[in-house]
Amino acid sequence: MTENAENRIQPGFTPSPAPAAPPPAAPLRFTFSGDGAEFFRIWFVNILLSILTLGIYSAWGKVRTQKYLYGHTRFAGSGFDYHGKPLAILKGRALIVGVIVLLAVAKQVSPLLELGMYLGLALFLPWAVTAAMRFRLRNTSWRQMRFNFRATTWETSSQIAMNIVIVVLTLGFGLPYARHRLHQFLVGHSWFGNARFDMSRCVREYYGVWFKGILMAIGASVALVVVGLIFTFGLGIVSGGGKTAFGIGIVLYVVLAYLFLLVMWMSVGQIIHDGFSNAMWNHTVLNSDGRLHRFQSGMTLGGLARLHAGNAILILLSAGFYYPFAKLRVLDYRLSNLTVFPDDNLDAIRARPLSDNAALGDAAADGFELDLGL
Amino acid sequence: MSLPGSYLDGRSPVPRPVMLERDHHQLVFTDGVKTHRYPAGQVDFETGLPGLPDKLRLPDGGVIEVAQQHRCRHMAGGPPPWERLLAWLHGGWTILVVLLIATVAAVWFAYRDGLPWLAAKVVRQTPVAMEKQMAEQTMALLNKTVNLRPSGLSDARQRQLQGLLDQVKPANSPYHYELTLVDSADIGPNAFALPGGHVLMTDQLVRAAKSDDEIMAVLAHEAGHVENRHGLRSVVQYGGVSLAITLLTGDSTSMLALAPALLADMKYSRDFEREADHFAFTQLEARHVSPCVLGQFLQRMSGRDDGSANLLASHPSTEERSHPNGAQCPAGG
Repeated sequence: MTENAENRIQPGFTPSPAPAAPPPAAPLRFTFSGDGAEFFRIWFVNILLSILTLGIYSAWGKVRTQKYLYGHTRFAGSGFDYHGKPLAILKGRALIVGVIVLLAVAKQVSPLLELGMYLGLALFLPWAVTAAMRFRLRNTSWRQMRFNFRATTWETSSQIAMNIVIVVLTLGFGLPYARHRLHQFLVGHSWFGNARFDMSRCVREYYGVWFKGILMAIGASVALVVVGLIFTFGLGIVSGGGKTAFGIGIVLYVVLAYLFLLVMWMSVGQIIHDGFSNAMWNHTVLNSDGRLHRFQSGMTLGGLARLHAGNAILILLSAGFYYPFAKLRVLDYRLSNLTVFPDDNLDAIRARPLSDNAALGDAAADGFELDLGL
Repeated sequence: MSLPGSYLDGRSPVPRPVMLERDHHQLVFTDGVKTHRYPAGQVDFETGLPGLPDKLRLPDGGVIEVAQQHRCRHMAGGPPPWERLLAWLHGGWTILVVLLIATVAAVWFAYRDGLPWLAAKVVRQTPVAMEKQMAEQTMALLNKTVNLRPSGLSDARQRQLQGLLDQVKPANSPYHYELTLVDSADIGPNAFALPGGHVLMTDQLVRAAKSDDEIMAVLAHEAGHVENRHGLRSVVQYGGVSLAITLLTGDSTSMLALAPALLADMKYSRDFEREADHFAFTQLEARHVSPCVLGQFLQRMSGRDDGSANLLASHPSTEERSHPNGAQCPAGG
């Protein structure tokens, strides 16, 4: 990486043997090198073995999946690594299954008990979110250096509670703001070795993404209605009052309209989600002793719309079997648009020296994994 | 014998090319600054997934990445059997198809035999008192949702019908049978068995029957549900199917997830009806009543167009019922 940066000959520059100041480091790119057929097999074997083992294999399958995806996510030529242990993941899943079963039983026994269970769950949620973030980042490494999430459960709880209050009080219109707050909090407490991530304010951009995403959905719906009206009129003329042809045409249109809405329903959320991430990365830096390594993400809403709508259509047409390929396409799109502009080079980053609560931290990292889709 | 690898010490993100060597029981390499020695027993091998390097995890948090083509794993005796098995399962399309067929067969078997067997086992451990409690809840719900009026039949007639029910129950039954007659135009001619021995029958059914034998046949069928604890078993089985679907799809509320659960439930309910029929046939024969009566009566009911479909929804075919225990019944009814 550094060799690469220093050996690159800048246009209009004659390399001198001893430059007075270090040359500006070249941008570092992310790439994805996974193979669709390989990943399809990992995905499908995971589903089949999970069914055959009554869910137990799913923990091992998750580790295999993550190792494959992380390993093929390359930054500056080196892959990431996933260190989650299957048993920790199994523990997390057993917990979730236990909660589902308990809720079902409570529902049978008495509504009051069910309500109590939900309240208990609400109190437990912030802790679970903190533990899950911690588990995910601590078990991620690049060049054998671990990431970390360093926020207390209390900080996370108040953050989540505030976000829920904001979204509810604003009848949903505060959602981009709440997302922005959450991202700022999560990024701001993430570390790579002794370097800390930081995200600057960009609420305006989150709202931009949100409004454009919603406008896109409304525009597509209007287009659907217009096309439907034209189609119906055209059909009326063509069929010349023939009832059967007209009826078949209408049924066809209803089916297509339903599929269209399904595709939209599947993709709009993802487009907005990735749009938020795009804004997040563009305002994120990695702060290593005052040197700021800047991120840049070049995803566009048009590109995201094509990607996610295309994936949704192919997933529907293939009865779900396109899913692993879709996942790789999304990863490839996200990563190929992400660039780091390092200030000097990244080699100066060091692992954080072990502090007194390191032992506790390790225990938490081995704790359990929860898929919360954050 | 030495292998080229890339060493990362876990303290800085700077990879260093190294040559790995084995010196007796030690792993030896030089990173350009100093020579490292680790006891081979403390080094963890990790076989790389397709396209990723093998990794030698060192006890101090460092790692050496070795390209897969060097097969460093195989020099140390190869991966453990379970890892080899997984690699084999992920290795090609043929094995994937075989695995798919095996899974479909296993799911089919679990659905057809496994879950009913498990439910029967669970239910055997459940006290009768719990079934009674379940029945009370069902009764409360029924009273709220449909119009049930007290029966218009005379007390003597009601006692007579209760006597019929007591006749068809097995001698060693743990249940105390109680027949409740109701007048309900909503339900029409029908009968239900609630878990715990509470049987509900409508006046409409009593009036539709041509003889007490026909009523006895229906009561025997309902007693079959009670004795085989079908109420509780269907709850357990439906719960099992829903749980499986929830775990697989992460969702049990969407229509897509609900459809297979409902289909499975209908199949199980047909099986229960068949079991109750079988019980009724045996009881009727023991009382020298032709088991054909049940099928004939139900067939007559199904011909009517007044909501009697309730009793017959998700039931075995009338064709099946006209051959009780393999016997041939006279046509018509």
